[in-house]
Amino acid sequence: MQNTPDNIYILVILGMAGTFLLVASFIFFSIRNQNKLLRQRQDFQQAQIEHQKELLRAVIESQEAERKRIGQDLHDDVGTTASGLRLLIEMFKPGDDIKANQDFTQSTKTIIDKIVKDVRNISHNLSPSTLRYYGLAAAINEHCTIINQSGKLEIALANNAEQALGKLPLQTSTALYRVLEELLNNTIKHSGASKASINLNMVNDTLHIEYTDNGKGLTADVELVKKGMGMQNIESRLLNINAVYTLDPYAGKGFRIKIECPVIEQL
Amino acid sequence: MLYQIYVTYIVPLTILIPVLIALKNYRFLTKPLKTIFWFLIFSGTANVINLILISSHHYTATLFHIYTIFEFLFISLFYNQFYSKKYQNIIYVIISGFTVLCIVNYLFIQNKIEFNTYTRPLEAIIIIIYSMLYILNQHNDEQNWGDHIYNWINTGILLYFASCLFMFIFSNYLINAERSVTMAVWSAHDTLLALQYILFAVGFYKCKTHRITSTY
Repeated sequence: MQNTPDNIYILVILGMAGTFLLVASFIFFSIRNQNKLLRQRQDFQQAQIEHQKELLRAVIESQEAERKRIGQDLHDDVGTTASGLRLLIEMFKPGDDIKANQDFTQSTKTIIDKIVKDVRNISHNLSPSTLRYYGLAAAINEHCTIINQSGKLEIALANNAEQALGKLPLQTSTALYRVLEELLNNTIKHSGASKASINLNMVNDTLHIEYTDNGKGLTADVELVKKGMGMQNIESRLLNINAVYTLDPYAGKGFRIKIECPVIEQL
Repeated sequence: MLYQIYVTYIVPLTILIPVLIALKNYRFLTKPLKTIFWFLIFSGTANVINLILISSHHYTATLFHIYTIFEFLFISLFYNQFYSKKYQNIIYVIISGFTVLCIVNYLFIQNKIEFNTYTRPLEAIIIIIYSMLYILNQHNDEQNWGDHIYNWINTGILLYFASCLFMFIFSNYLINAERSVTMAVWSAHDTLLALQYILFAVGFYKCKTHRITSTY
C-alpha cells in the first residue's frame, strides 16, 4: 500500500488528460456539427434564391413576350386596318354619285367593325371579361369552345366542381385560367396532339385539375421540362396561389399534369 | 530551470495577450467581454500577489480561498448576461450561496494552509454546467462557429475548468507529491491556463472584426 499516493498522482494526470481530450473532442464535434448545419442551411437558401430568380426571370420574359405579341397584334391587325381606312378616306372624293357614296360608307363601316372586333379580341386576350363576370368555369368553357371550333384540337371538358369554381377568388381563378391557357397553347404548339381533356374535381377542400393530351408528351427528364419558360411560368402562377402540381414522365403516351389547389372561399 | 521560467514568467505573462488586445479594442467590447476583461485584470493581480508571497516564503492557500470567490463571481456574471431576468436571479442566488459556502469552508473546514479542495471543484462543476447550457442554447445559431465571439471565451473556460477538475480535487495530495509529479501537473495546469488566455485573446480580437455582412 506504500505506493498508493504515487498512483493517485498518476490518476490525476490521466484524469486531466482524459477530461481534456473528452472536452476538446466534444467542442470539436459541436463546432463541426454547427458549421455543417449552417452550410446545409446556406446551400438550401442559395438553391431557393436561385429558383426564385429563375421564376422571376420567367415572369419577366413572358411579360416581354406578351408585350411583343400585343404590339404585333396591334401593328398587324389594328394598325394595318386603320391605315387602310385612312387610305380609303383619302382616296374618296365626295361627289353626287349616291352609289359611290353608299359604297364608301359601307366599306368604312366594315373596316371600322373589323377594328372594333380586333380590339375586342386583343383586350379579351389580355383580360377575359367572361372570367370576370361569369367565373372560371364559363371562361374555360368559352376558351375550349373557341379552340374546338378552330379545329386545331378537340378538347373534352369534364367539370365536376361547378360550385367550388364559383367561390374562387378572382386572383386564383385568373391564375388557373392562365395556367390552363398556357397548357392548351403548349399542346397546340408543341405536342402535335389531336385530343386533350380537362377534368375538374373537388376532393375535400382542394380543387383537383387533371390535364392530359395525346401528343408526343414530355421528354423523360422532367427536371429539364421544369426549366422551360412555359413551365416556370405555370409554376410561379401556381406558387402564388399555394397550389402544387405533379408532372408525369409520360414520353410517347401524351402529356399529363395534375394540379391541386386549396379552395379558400371569398369573403 | 526551464520549468521555473515557464511557470513563473511565460504563463503568467500570457495573460498580457488578451489584456492588451482587449485594451486596444476596448470601445468595441460588449458587456460580457468587459466582465471577462476585468476578470483577467483581477486574475493577473492575484497572480502577482501570489508570486510575491511565495518569494517571501508565505503560505498562499488563503489567497486561493479569496481568489475562488471572485473567480466564480466574474465567470457567473459573464454567463448571467445570456439569460433572461428569471434565470439571472437564480444565478445571483447561486453566487451568494457559493460565497457563503467558501467563507464557511475557509473559517471552519479547510483553513490556513490547506487548499480549498471542496469549493474549487464545486466551482468548476457549476462553471462546466454554465458552459454546457451555453453550448446547448447556441445550437440554433445561424452564424459560423468561429465568427461568434462568445464561443471562443466559452471554449477557453470549459477546457480549463473541465481539464483541471481532477487537479482541483487532489490539490492537497499534490503538495506532498514528488517534485517531478508536481512539475508535470502544474505544467499541464499552466498550459491549459495559457490556452484559456489565448482563446480569450481570439474572442477579444474577433469583437473588432465582427461585422454583420449581407449575403445579397
